[in-house]
Amino acid sequence: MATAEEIIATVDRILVDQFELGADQVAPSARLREDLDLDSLDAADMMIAIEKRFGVRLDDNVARSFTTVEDIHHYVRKLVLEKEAAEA
Amino acid sequence: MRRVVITGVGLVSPLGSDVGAVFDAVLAGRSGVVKVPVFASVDDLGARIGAPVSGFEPAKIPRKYRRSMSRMVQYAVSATADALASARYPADQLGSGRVAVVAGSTTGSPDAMQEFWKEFLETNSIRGISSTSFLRVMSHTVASHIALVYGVTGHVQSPGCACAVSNQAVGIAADLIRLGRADMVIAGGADELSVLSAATFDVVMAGCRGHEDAPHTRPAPFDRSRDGVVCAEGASIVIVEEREAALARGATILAEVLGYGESCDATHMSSPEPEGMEAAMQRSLADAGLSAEDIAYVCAHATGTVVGDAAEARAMEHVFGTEVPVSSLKGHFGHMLAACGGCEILMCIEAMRRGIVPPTLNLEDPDVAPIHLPRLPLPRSLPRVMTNNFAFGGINASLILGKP
Repeated sequence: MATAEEIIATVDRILVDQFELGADQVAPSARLREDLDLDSLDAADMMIAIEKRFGVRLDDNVARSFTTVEDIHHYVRKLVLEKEAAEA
Repeated sequence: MRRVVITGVGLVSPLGSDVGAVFDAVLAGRSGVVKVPVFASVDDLGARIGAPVSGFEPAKIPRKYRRSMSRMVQYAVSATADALASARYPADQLGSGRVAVVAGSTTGSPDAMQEFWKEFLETNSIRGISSTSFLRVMSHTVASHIALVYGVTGHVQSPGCACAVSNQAVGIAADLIRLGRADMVIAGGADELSVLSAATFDVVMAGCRGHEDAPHTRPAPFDRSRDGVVCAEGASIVIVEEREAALARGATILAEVLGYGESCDATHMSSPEPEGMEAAMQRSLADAGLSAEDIAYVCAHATGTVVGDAAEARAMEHVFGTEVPVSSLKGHFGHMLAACGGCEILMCIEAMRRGIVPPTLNLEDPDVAPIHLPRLPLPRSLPRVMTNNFAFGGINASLILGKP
C-alpha cells in the first residue's frame, strides 16, 4: 500500500521531470498556471504520465479543475486508495 | 519588378553548422556519412549507413517551445536563429505582418508518427497519446514552429514536395516578394534521419544497401558504382528579402534570386524523366531572362541512384552541353531530403563568393551522359549558378542565383 508521502513524492517527481521544474518550485501551494507556467498541453501530458505511473484513470473534468499542486496530490491519492481498495 | 536577394543563412548539417567551415569541409572531401547501427536492427531493411547531425544541443530551446518539436524542427529553429543573426534582421520587424515563413519537410516527423501509431495500435485507445504528438506529425510542423518561436505574424506556408522543398520554398518566397505580399521570408527545409525515411527509399529499390565497413564511400553520384540514396538529416534556412529594403537597412547581400522554375513529369511517381527536369531548368532560365550560356555552374540534385543520376545528366547535357561544370554534394552530406536544397543553396553562395566549384565526392568513374564533372575543386568565376532538386512524384525545381 502506497503511503501519502510516497504518492506525493511520485507526483512531484513527475512534475519535475516532465516539465523541467526545480524540486523547490513544486510546493503544494504552487499554482499550476501562474507559478509553474503549465498550460492545457502540459495538463494533458501530466495526466498521461500519472495514469501510466499509478495505473489509474483520471477524470478529465476533475483534472481540468486542478489549480495547485496540492489539488493533484489529493486527487491522485484518492484514486490510488480506491484502486487499492478494489484490488484488496 | 521587385528584386529578390538572400541576406542571411543558417545551417544544421552532418558536416556542421558554420557555413564557411562546412564549405571548407566540402572542398577537403570530408563526408558526413557514418554507420547507423539502428538500421541493422530492422528486419529486411538494407540501409546500414546515413548522415546524422551530431553535437546538436536541443536543451538550448526553451521547454515551452521544445515540447512540441521533433528533431527536424529543432534543427530548423536553430538554423533560423543563425540565419536571422547573419542577416542582422531587426527583431522588431518579425511581427510586422510583412515577414513570412515558407519552410517544410518531406512529411511531419517520422519518429513522431511511429510513436503516435505505436501507442494507438497497441492499445486501440488514444488515452496514452501525447498532447504534442500531432504537433510533431502535422505537415506544417516546421513552418509553424519557426513562426511561433520568432513571432512571425505574416504568411506561413509549408511546401511539402519532399526533396524539392527547399528550392520550392525559396521560389515561393521570391514570388511573395515580387508580388509585394511580403518584404522578408524565412525560407528553407528540414528533415530528420529515421528508419522510416531510409525504408522509403529501400522499398522502391532506390536506397543504398550495406557499405557499413566504408560508409564514407557512399553515395557515389554519377559514378559507375552508384547504388542508391544515403539518407541524412538537418535544416537549412535562408533569409529572403526585397533588394531595396535590404539595402536600405544596410544588409549584406549574399546572393540574388534571379530565377525559379518548376515542372512535373506527370509520367511516374518515382522514376524521373529528363524532359521534366529540363523543363524546370528552362523555366528558371526564362524566369531569370537568361540563357544556358549565362550559367557558370550547376549544383545537381544527383542522389546516387542509377536511374535518377542518368536522367539528370542527360537533361543537363541537353540544356548546357558538355562544358559547364556540374557537381553533386550528396557524396558529402548524404541526402538531407527537404533540407538538401537549402544546404546546396548555401554551398552555391559560398562557391560564388570564393570562386570555386566544389567537386563531387566518391566520383571516380563517371557513367552518365558527357557533362563536365570536375574531380577536384575548380577555381572559376561564378557570377550565376543553378541549383536543382527533384522529388518523388516527378517534381522538378530549379533555382538560379546570382553573385551580388
